[in-house]
Amino acid sequence: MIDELANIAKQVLVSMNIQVSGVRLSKDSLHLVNSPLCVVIGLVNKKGEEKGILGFEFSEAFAKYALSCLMPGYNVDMLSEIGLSALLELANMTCGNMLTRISPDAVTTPPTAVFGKNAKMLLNTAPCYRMIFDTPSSSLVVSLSVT
Amino acid sequence: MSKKVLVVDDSLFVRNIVKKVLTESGKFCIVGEAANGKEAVELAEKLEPDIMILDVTMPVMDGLEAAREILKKNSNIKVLLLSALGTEDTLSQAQNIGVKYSLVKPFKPEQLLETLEKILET
Amino acid sequence: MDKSIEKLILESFIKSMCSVYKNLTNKELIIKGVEKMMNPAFKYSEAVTIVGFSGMIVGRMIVAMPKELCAIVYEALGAEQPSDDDLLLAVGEFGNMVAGNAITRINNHLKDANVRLSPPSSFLGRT
Repeated sequence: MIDELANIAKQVLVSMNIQVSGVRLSKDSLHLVNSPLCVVIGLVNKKGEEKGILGFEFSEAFAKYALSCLMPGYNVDMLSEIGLSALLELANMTCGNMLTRISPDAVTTPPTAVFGKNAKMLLNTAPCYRMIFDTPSSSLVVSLSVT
Repeated sequence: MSKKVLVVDDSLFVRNIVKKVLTESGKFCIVGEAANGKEAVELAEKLEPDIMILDVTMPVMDGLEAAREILKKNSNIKVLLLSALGTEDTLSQAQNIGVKYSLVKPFKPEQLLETLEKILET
Repeated sequence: MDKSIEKLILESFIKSMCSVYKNLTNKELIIKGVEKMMNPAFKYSEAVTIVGFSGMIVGRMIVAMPKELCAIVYEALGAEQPSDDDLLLAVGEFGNMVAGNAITRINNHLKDANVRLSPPSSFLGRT
């Protein structure tokens, strides 16, 4: 299933002109994040039996590259209103497409962007799967944990 | 004559992209924008656009609820729904309130323009 | 949103916060005031927990608290001398308890609301 999710996410990135040269998968025992900017989306299924967190971990290099693809010709700062809006929307669209194909019963909670240069971020205490999308400039990490 | 469009999405980025695509086509005139369904209903009454582009998932009032309210007051307004979730549930709810056209994000500018042309032909 | 539902949501979260805090620390929480945030962005330099919810109402609860308070919560949960990692767990658990309590109140009041929580996420340091 993670392979399929990664494929769907890759398709969304590519459709937004973000070049993805490769995808790597990994697993960790806790959903910890080590990026300065993270978009957090909560997942719940309609019956409330399963729940999880989807995290989009942006490095400054990837955020800059993604914004140059999303808004070509504009020099947008990732923490500006429009920059954050674009990155949030990228996360939102990727999440939506992943859920539609894999778990139509799931609903999301509103995405939240959290920025902190030296912050510790624990998105969930459940084990997490990481999908690492390699691009010309750094990587985007999309991580998923389900309880 | 350019068609009047009201753009509604809680994402500033999406509103900017849609406005840019429509303005550059030369066929549409953006008469207003809103970030939630409640503002959309108020502006629709005030501005009487030809078309409303409405995101589904929005705070305060979602796009489906807003579309229902708007079409109740003015059934001449054409509505295009945008969503990151292309679930059957969302699509059938849209059909039930009389909204036939929706686009799943992300979409290409050409897709947006083609869909709007189709809506205007109906 | 209906004003009465908005009022119910706000009261549920406030009451839950007070109730959970008192249960853990045996102290009363004093509410200095309630303010509507016009700007959705805010800065905080200590501990933060975010709990999302979905159902008839959709949104997120964010609790921002000093590390010292996290340590009190951690110790109230039965352990001593928390590390930073322990504080992360404590603030998340605190958020989970408050949100869980609040959502239970809301679901009890509004039949068919079916509001569910997503797991808590926690953050420590400058955000």
